Amino acid sequence: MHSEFHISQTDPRPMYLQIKEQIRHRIAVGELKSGDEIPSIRALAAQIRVSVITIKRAYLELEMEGVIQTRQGRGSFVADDAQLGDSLKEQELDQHLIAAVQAGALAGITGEALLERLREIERIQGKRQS
Amino acid sequence: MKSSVFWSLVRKDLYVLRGFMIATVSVGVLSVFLLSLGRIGFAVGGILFLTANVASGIFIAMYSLLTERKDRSRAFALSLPISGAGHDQSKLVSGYLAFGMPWLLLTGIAVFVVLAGPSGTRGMVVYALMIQVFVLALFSVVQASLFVITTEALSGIVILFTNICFSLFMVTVNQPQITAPLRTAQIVWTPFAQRMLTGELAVIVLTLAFVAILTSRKRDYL
Amino acid sequence: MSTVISTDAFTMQNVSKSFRYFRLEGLNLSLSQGQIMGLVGPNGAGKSTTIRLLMGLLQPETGSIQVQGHRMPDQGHVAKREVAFVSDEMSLFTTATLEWHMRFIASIYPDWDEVYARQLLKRFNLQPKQGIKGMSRGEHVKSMLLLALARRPRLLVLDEPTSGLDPVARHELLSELMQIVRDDTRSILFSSHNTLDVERISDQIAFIDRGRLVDARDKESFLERWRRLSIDVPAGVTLPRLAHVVDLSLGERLATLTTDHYEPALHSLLEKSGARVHEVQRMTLEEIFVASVMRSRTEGES
Repeated sequence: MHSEFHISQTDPRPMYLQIKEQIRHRIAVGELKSGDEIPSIRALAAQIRVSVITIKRAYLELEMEGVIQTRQGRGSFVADDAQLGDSLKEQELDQHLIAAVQAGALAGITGEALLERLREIERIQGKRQS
Repeated sequence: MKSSVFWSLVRKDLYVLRGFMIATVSVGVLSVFLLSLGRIGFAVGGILFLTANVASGIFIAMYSLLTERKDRSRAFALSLPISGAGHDQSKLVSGYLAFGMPWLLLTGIAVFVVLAGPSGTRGMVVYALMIQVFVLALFSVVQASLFVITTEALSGIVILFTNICFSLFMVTVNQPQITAPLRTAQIVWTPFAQRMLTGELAVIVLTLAFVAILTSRKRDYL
Repeated sequence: MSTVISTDAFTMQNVSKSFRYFRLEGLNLSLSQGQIMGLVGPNGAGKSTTIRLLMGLLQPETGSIQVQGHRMPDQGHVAKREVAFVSDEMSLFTTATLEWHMRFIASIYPDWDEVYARQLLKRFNLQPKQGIKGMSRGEHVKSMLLLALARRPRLLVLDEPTSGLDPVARHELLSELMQIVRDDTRSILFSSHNTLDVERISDQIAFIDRGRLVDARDKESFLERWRRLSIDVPAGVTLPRLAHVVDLSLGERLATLTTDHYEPALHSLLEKSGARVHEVQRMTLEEIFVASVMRSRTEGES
């Protein structure tokens, strides 16, 4: 079954963004699969006690981004895209990589030096997990 | 045609006031019983009878209008599907019913006691009616004034005024020249009695008209 | 917002009302069906007056008021069949029990849902046989909310519903409020000092101060338009004149700018003058509210 959504009002990210990211993450890890039904806007609003307008905004943006599809009278569903899970995982990776590049710039580590550092860390992580 | 909300509120008020109503009737019946127990019994019974009537009138008028305001339950009553005027009218109706029903009973008992008593004093029925209708008029005045008066201080003055009026009335009506013509076997509507009763009924009608005008002009209810 | 009167939960057009020491002026406020509106304002701003006008308890001096399509206050007795009103200044009849009140309300409102009422008794932790007189303020408020919710109103009007409620009861109330708007023909208006709750569940938000409507729009617009910027101002740089500046505090090297019309273009405008935007902060509804009111008061005084 599905885990609960949780919206934090102390999180610096706005509520609509938290909702979007939680839906994307569920798709990325496979808890929600292509074609799965997601709660209607009003049902989700009641579930997590967040205003309908916020849920509407999140769903609208997710639809424009091709992540979900809303069919009038039928409800909302995860987009029929087999690659969706993977592409969302890649998008999550990109977010982290952007942060790494920015941090690297601040520390003066860019280009080849940055790549080297990344490979080193990958090696260490690999050792830790085996 | 009044709505069911209107009558629900009237029923609710009568239910809340049932204690007063029962107490009034009980004291009234007791005092009538005392009337037959010799001179002191007659005096005590008489006073008790009148007190029960007047006190019940004041308590009932005050309870309906003032405690609901203090209680803030007026706002709750006004949130129901009833107009502000309808709510005011329900208070008026329940007040008159809560006072009027025991009053009618006690008046009936008083009239019966006089008519069933010594045949030589049957005329005192007029005396009993003058007093009873006076009490009803007094109730009307108190009820009407509490529609306008909202502070506890002023309502205290109203009660004081009521007591003074009643005392003056009793002194007036107990004068020998008033009561003597009534101690007859016949029922005589003396000129004094006629004027008094007409005046009392006029007061009742005027106060009702006053409240009717007030409730139709009022627009702000909270 | 809908312009078709008959589908609005309520409409107030150019409404004014004077009292001895206070005046509510030119109020224009409306709510579409299926939405929640949060009314925020300092004490004495006119929130309760607005709500009383809406409920037909006061007659407006100017303007018109419609609730569920009915004209107020004339059609008040009809409108109130579909509206439930709970105020923190209201009490139930102290001589009765909660059970009595449930029967009383059930006899008046045909949509009374007994099953739902029983569920609410459990959720709000109330004892039906308990007398109103012996209840704590919290229990009293919860009782009034139960009576309002279980009659399944089309419009629920709440004046400070969470004052006096413990956190659990507040959580339960917010859940019940959100359940109401699962039905897109039902609406809620609530006034509250609890800006966190207002920010969370409101679709529309209105700010009232000193008898005037300071601002009213949908919540997401409020949250998207307002920003606080930290700006580095190097020596010799003067900030350009900008539109939509609600507040600006200037130090020697730093400035804090509050704006109600944030756009990315603002960055380039500032950078052109030699300043650098160090940080852009979103603002909470409470911060937006305070800034709005402060500005409105300053404008009012000048």
